[in-house]
Amino acid sequence: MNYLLHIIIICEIYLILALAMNLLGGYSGLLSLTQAAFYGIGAYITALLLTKVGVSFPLALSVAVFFNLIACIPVIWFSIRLRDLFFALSTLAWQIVVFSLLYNWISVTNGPFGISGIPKPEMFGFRFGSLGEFALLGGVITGITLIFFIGLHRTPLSRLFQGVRDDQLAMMTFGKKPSYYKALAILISSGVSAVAGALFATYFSYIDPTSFTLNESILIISMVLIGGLGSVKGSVAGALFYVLLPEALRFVNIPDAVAANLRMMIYALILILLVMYRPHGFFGKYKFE
Amino acid sequence: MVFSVNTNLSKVEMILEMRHISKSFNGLKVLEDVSFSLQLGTITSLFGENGSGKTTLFHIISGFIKANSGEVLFKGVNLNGNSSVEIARLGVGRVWQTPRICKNLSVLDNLVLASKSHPGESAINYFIRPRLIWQEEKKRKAIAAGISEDIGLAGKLQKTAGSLSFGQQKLLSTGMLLMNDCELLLMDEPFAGVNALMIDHISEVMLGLKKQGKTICMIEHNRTKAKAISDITLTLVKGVIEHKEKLSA
Repeated sequence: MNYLLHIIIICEIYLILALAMNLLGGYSGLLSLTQAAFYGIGAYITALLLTKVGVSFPLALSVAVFFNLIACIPVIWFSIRLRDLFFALSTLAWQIVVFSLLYNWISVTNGPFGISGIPKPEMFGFRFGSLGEFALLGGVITGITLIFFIGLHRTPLSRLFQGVRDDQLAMMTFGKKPSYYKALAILISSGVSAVAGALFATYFSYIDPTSFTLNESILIISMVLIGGLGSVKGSVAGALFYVLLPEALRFVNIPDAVAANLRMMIYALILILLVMYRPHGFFGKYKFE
Repeated sequence: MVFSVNTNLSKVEMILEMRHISKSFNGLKVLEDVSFSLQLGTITSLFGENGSGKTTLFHIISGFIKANSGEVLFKGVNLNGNSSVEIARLGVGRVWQTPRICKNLSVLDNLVLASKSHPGESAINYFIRPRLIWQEEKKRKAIAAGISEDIGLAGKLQKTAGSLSFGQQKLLSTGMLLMNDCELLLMDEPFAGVNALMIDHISEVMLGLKKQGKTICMIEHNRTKAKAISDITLTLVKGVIEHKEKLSA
């Protein structure tokens, strides 16, 4: 049961991250390689506030979101005028900067040793200490995030995000500023990623910079690509696929000596087949190009 | 060379005035002292060989590039220094040679997206006046449905824009400019790449727009078809307006 609850919590965290990434990469067509940095900043701010300042979880979460909104300003500033690959490269730079800061700013982040002893969330006098309770809290937060994105994608704003993706020149021709919608997508995406970071930090009670590397950013992008760009349903499917598939492969009878590598090979093969034969992902609106 | 089309008209009736526009790229002169004006509610065709500077002229009017010298006045307002987005907001619309539309959105969404000053465009409005957004959305969808009839796309509102034919995409981008409430439409080769039937249809749409008081300036190589609906033709030769002709369209 504990194993199942653990998987549910991991699914919840990645679902939030995939939904945030889908707004950027899916709807707005902005390939961001810095999602793990936003996720990491959210986790570190929550961890620091809970362990050093001793504030309540809701306040730590709110500050983490707010701080992430400020922390993404440099990304907005240097990437907003860029397109396609250049945009991706500029976000890669920010990912490297944040990782280096988390790794080397030892006086604040404790560097490679990370931060331990992060307390479990407490709200309204209730402590979400057990796995079941945490899964419930994660479920509520994920549900709210899901409703937020479903609602957002029904607004006229979503149409403008998709306009940025489809044709920025067209947007300018009709008097819309693509840079405004790019900035807004980055802001929302970074704020939501901070929520996932806060959940991650409080769930594991320990964080270090290795959880927020470029690999993590690529994993989040892959979830959105596999699930399908520009689809909330796709983000859910992508996150579940990425979390559940490796777990399912644990039950395949593979000799221990080769298990890990073989599992990764099966995993990679499935991904290649999906990209080849389902370029829209599971439920995508846009083709992976 | 200066041409003031319909010189007997007052300045108020001139929606666009180009005054002594010159532009060169790396020393290569593309436009040289080009001056002309467009009368409100007319169709003007701009002819010229490839490389004569027609598209550059459109780029300058719509603010995508800046002239080296000269002035562009739209309804008496100097556009120099304005960005392309600001110029579009003032009412100068552009239909590109290759239609610029959002191909993954529906025809209806494309039309509503192009509409001017939708309260739903600003994130802050979702907090301070959310009801207004949905009221406006409803209104604009109704306007879009009306415009889709004008441009002959009424039955295709829910279709993805990318699935339309090339000619229909051109019509859609014209419809988007109407949603944007553009007063001056700069159309780059509206008849290029479309069949004879579609040319006639596009011509009808353009004449309909003229009746509504819109001003159209088009670049076109199909002189016969363009002249059939134009009031004025201007011919650019190596960056200089060499010839003007007043027609009785």
